[in-house]
Parts: sequence; structure tokens; C-alpha cells
Amino acid sequence: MFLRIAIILLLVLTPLSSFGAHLYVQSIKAPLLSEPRLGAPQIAEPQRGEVLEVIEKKDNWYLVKYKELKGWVSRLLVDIKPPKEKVSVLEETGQKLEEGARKRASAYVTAASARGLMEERSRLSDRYRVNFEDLEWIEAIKISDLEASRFLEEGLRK
Amino acid sequence: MKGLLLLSSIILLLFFASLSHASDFRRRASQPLEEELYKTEEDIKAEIIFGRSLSARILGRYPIIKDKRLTEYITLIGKAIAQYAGRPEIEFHFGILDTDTINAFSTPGGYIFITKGALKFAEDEAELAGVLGHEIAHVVERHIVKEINLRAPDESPLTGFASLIAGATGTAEAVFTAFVDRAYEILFERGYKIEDELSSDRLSTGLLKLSGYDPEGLMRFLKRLNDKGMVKEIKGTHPGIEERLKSLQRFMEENHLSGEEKNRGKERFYEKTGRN
Repeated sequence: MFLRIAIILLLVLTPLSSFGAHLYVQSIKAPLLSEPRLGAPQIAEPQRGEVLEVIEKKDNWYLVKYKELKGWVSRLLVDIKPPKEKVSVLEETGQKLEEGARKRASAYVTAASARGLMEERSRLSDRYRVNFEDLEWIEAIKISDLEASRFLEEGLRK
Repeated sequence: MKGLLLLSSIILLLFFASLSHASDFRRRASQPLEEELYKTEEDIKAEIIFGRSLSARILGRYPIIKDKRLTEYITLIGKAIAQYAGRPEIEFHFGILDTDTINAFSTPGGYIFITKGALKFAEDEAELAGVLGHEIAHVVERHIVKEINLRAPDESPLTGFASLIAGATGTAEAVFTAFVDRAYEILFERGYKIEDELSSDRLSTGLLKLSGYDPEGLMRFLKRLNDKGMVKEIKGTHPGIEERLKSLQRFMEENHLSGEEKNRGKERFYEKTGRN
């Protein structure tokens, strides 16, 4: 009886105990360095979304294990949660314009309607001028992550 | 029998010890718990909505230069380095403000503005990337959001930032406007806290290094401003330039970044900005 309990406890609790000791790469690449400083030699280059196992933390650096390699990664490039997709309020606004100004009956208003509401409030401010037209002009300029990466590689080869 | 009891006790003790360690790790790994308040999708949307309102005020003061080719160039540089900034959920937007003042601004949610004056003052792509990187860092570290303590005015069950935006009451309206006012004051009157400036300088320099630019880009830009006595241009909004330069020098030394290969992107910068 006790043997069974011990085995069950061992099987169930041991994996749980290690939960949390992983980090996900948030940046497009995260250099794994031989020492906790930016100028140190690079050991590997995990990509966005890859998982690193934490061994130790020192100031703004983590010593991690990645594919049997050990190295240091900056805390700015990783998080305990997987990287999120891009968040936008702009597409929802377009959708709202097409569908008409329907309001959700929940405690939240949609991001788009909230945006409209708040921008209306902002326009009402009598202390400052606002200019949403120019803002929409820069929002209309679309550059993908891939284009940005290519730009970087091409330019720095020169 | 005794052996089994002992074994069970050891397993339980190990489990609770490791749980405590894991919990402590999660707390340290995620930085101050306060930051977790701003991480839901609704909070991020609220951050963008807030940033749009603040940006519209900046553009009410300085209109944008509608040069598509030049703005695309700035956007390519900004987005290229922002890919190393650790906030993939943010879509960054970049604009050039039509003023000869040398300065740059950012608002929550990823809106970055550089003045025509700052663009003219930069001597290569690495310097320009350094200035943009400094502003990207303010967004990534949520400096404005934290400084004005952007929270709901009541004990709403919604997370702080989102509940403020979702509020449809007169109080929520007044609070939202007051928060935008305070953020505007930080940008144009009070400036950021010096520790936020130093942190943004370091992060920007890190972004330059990670993306392959000359890591001295921002430092060269600031040093030249200082040497030419043009600090007054940015003094109100970006205080303590001498302290910033010392801090950056220290950061470069600690990270062994001095003497790096200099990828300044000068040729492309001259071509894209129409200089000879």
C-alpha cells in the first residue's frame, strides 16, 4: 500500500516540481554567450519561441541549457511565457466600420469601440490640438518582420 | 514499513522544497509582479489606444513629414532593431516630425517619432538606430505606463489598464484625459526619470549590438550633441546628458563592446537621406 503511494507521489509530483524553470525566446534571435556580457563569444543562437532551461540567474542574465549547450542569455530577450502574436486595434476598427457600431453587452467594450470612445474624449480636450490624420498616415506604412530582417542583413554587409 | 514511510516523507519534502524554489524562480524571472498587470491582451490593446491618443497630441504640436520613402527607411531601421527588443506583440510605427529641434519621442503601444532636426544631426545609420532604439526601449520597459501609474480609478475586477479604457463613465473619461495630460507633460515638460533614461540608453546600445550595428551609435550621437553645446535642445525632455554619457561608457566597458567592428551603415544612410 505504502509502496504504491510512494510510487504515485514520485511519478506525479516530480515533473510538477520542475515547472517554471523554462524560458521562451521573445526576440527574433537570442545569442547564447559564453559569459554574461554582450561582447562575449557566441555559442549558439536560439530563435523566437525556442525553450531554454534555466540553471542560474545573475543580475540581468540567465545561465541556460539549450540543446546540450550551456550559455548566458540576456533577460531582455526571454520570458516565462511563449511569445505572443502581434496585438492590433486597427483591424478591429476596420471591421467595426463595416459592420456598424454594434456594442458588446459584456463588461468590456471592444478594443475598437474603446479606441473610438477614448479618441473622441481626446478630441474633446480643449488644452491640446490633436492630429489623428497624420497618425493614420504612419500606421498605413507596412513593413514586415521579414523585410526588416533582410534590410538589416543587406545593409550591414556593405 | 518504516522504510516506506521514510521514503514517502523524503519525496514530499523534496517536492515542497522544489515548489518553493520554482515559485521563487517564477517571481524573479518575471521581474516585479507589478509588470504582470500590464500583460493581458486587453492591457496591451489599452496601451496601444492610450499611445494613439498621446501620439495624436504630439502630432497636433508637430505635424508629420509625409515623405513615404524616407519614413519607410526609418521604419525599416526601427523595426529591424525592435525585433531584438523582446516585445513581439507590439507593432512599432515610426514617423518624422516636421521641426528643426533635435529630439525624439515615443508613446506606449509602439509609436516612435524622430524630429527632422535629429535626422539631420545623425551622421550614419547606427546613430539613427541608436536614437530610435532609445525610444523603443521606453516602450518596451513601459516607462510612461509605470510612471503615471496608469490604473483603474476603482477596484474593478478587470486588470488595471484595460478597465480604465473600458470604463464608460464620466469618471473614466476624466481619468483617461488626466492620464494623457500627465504623459504629455512627461514628454514635453518634466522629462523621464534619469534612471529610465539611463536604462533606455543601455537597452538601445544592447539592441545595436544584437542587431549588428556599431554599439557606439547612440553614444556618438549624444557626445556630439554635448560637444557642440546643443544639449539645451533636449535638456527639458531628456535630462542629465553628462551622466548618461558616463553611464554608457561604463556599460560599454562592462560588456566589452569597445573596439567592436564598426558597422555604421554610412553609405546607405547617405543614399537614403539624400546627402552627398
